[in-house]
Amino acid sequence: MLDPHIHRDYVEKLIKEISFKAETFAADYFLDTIYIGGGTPSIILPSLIEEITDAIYVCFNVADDCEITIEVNPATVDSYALREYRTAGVNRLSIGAQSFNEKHLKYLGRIHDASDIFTCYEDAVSSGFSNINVDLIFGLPEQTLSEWEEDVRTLLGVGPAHISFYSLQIEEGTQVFSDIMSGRATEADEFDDRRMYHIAKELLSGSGYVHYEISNSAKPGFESKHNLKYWSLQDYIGVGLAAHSYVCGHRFSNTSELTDYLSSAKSIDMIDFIHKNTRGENMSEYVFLGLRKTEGINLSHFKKEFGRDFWETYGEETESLIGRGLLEVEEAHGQLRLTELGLDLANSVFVEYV
Amino acid sequence: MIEQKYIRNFSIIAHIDHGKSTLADRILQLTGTVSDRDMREQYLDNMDLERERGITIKLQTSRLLYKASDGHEYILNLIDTPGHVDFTYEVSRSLAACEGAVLVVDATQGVEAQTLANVYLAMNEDLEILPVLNKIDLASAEPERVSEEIEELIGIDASEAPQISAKEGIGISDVLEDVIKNVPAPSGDPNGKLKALIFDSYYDNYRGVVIYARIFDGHVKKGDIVRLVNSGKDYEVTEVGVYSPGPIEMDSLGAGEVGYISASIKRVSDAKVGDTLTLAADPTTEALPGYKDVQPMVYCGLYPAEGEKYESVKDAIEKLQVNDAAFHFEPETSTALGFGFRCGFLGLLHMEIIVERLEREFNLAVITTSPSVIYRVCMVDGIVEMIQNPSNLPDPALIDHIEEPIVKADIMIPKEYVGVIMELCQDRRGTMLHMEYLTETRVQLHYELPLNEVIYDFFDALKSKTRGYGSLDYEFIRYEKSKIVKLDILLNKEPVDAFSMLVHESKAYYRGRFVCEKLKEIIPRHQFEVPIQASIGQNVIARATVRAYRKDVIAKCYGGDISRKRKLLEKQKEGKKRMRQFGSVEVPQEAFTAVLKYDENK
Repeated sequence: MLDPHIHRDYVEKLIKEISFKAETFAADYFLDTIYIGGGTPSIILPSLIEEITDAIYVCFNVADDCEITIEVNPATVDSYALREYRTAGVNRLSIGAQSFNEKHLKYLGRIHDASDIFTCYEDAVSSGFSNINVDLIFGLPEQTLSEWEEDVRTLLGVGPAHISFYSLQIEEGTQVFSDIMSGRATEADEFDDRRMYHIAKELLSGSGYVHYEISNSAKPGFESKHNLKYWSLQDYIGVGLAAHSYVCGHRFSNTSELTDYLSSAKSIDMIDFIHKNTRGENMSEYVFLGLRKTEGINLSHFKKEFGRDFWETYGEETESLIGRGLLEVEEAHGQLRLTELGLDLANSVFVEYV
Repeated sequence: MIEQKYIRNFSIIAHIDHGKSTLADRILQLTGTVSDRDMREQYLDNMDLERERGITIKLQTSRLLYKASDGHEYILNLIDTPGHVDFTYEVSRSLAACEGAVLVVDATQGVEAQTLANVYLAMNEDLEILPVLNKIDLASAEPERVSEEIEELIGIDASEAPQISAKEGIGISDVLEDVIKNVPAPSGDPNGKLKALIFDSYYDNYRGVVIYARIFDGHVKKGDIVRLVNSGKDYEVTEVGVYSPGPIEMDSLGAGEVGYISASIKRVSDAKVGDTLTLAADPTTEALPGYKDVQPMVYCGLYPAEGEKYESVKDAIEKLQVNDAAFHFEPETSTALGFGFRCGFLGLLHMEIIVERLEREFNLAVITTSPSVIYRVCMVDGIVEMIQNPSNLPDPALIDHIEEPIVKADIMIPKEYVGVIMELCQDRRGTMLHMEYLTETRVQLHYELPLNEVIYDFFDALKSKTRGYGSLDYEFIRYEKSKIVKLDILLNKEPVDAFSMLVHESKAYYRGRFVCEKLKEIIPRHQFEVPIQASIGQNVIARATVRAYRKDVIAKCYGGDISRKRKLLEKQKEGKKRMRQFGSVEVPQEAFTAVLKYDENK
């Protein structure tokens, strides 16, 4: 999306979509989080971001204390843009830092360096942002444990309110994937990957961060309200290219083809797929998404939500996972949650509920 | 009544891939039995599996009308024969229904072991053998050399043999003229007591068992009460006819003719190949010679794969059995695999075919356990038990000794492979009887080999070591005392009975190590370390370990795209479904076949 004309066309279409979606859903929803992300929204003119948020305010009921996040790339954002975002109502920032290590940033194909991250963070703070997330990635090819520890310590020195730390996911079609397939790079050893994960968890909790989801930690009160919605089976309306929604029990997504998106006359034309979740699917999603949270799922809430006893529904699978040391019950609050081991092997747990 | 002098009954015999089915196709086309438009590649081999493997398993028979150059119209009955060492008896019975055999030899390759084996069978039945040199259209064809080879090896003059290309349709009528001129016409007594040979049968949903028969004497018609001499049972004939190649009902079948008879017989095993059919009211006193109750040589356990119903597998194998008298089964249970069946087969190919048919025709997934031969277990108290299931092997303390079946194997190979194949046979505990140069370049090795060494992967190894040029024929000769031990495989310290096998003591270590290594490759990593052990009794003789996994987590949820995550989990779950659970260890289905496969590098 380098051509500014396309940015404009895109935002116009996006605003149209917002108003279409509002016609259908505005009456039923009171927005308390807005998330501008997926891709790099910071590459378009900040004024366009403001047009988008304005459109949302006009079309929807938005809570006064609405959490409004934007994802930024440290190299494509400056203090002017950050101030514009503030004006647009954005109150939370997510900085895609990934690493402070030049070698690894280069490997990831990032155009920023460590100093861009510091500058970006300082500019954000002076622009009035106090709720800032910074992303880090570990388990990179050739990354050593001490390099990773260095990344985490550096970030703790910066001290953002929220830190995401992701294990590198090697997916088909990515550069890393083809490097590994062709032998140009070696996939990080699983053992090391987990050591890095544990290093991060320990350092963060030692610095007052609460580990609240598999890959997320935050200072108390700064958990991402928006992301928690995904993990708690709550509704969200997605707008824009390839955006996903979960509304009234339906999961649907927009087309991921830009030309198709731009040429859609109506909101319905943009839809790529739509699927009405069965109750079984909702229950399974409630469980496997909810278990991403370290507090896990509340068993009496499950019953209230679905009218079925959790143990009657998933007793056998759950007992077996507890037996394998992957899940545990926290009796005091009636929570079911992943154990430390379960956090490393979460998919082995989730798969039992699909 | 058709005059016998205008009938010719013949088969085509050949080595695999020498062009038997293609020639049959061309003959059907030339005689107008099948129109060119309907011509399907290799019409007679009508099972998909056969077409794919290029071999004939079930027989097909066809009546052809051919106007010969002498001006007369002849009835030619082409009796197809199966083409694999596992089905020798079936071949011999269909040959017994003929007076002559067309011997197809690939002019680029010459005589192969299977060719010889079939020629000997045909000679045993006293058939007129008509050699035909096929594939003469290929640049590498050497008709002179090959016809000399035929003369030298088989002792038949092949100098006049038609030189044809079945693929290109060259010389097909020469073959038919040759058949008319040289295959003797049948000469049975049309007014004698009915005497007919059952040379094949199959199950038809509407007509019950349909018998393929050759009438030697007398005749048979609808309404007759017929008797099967060896089984002693009587049935009323509901229909007689011929295949051309579709069924055509006839008033009767008389001496010299070949056709089908249905008599509401329920099971193929009630109308066994080789049995003699006669009239109950006026029975013949002598059965046709050569009847043999075919017994399975190889056994294995067959179990429904994860998610398959026992009942569906049972229904399917019952259906297959109605059509295949050589296939035996009985229920058995395994602690590892649950309810299943013990199945008996003529050989490993027969076993593979049944499994593939279950998968393709019935859409079932099944697991087979290590194939086994039948051992004679002689107990201390003098009792002899025939054991083919390792789980049934009595307590070693009660066993005096075990005997294993030995086969005589004829292996034909180009001379440059003599060394490697002798090595192979030696490795398989073979004893060489003798070796002969059939021609300057072609050698036949005669070995005695334990059958259990042949069934695992001998044929694959032979093919692989000779670049496909080696061929094999074998037959059972006797039982022989041998040091057989039971090799158990333990996963996570628990024995898995489905992997147990009976092996020669000298092979136990190698097989144990091989299975451990294979399973290590195939069993996915678990949350915990999985030790794999091979043991004889309490002694562990080989081991391998599947390392534990430490990480199994999708770190990030992409902006609300839950469907994608669900799909990933579903895929992971799908993989688990194809697994078998043994205790806490999950084993993929393919593990059972993989541990049996020949490994090039070993």
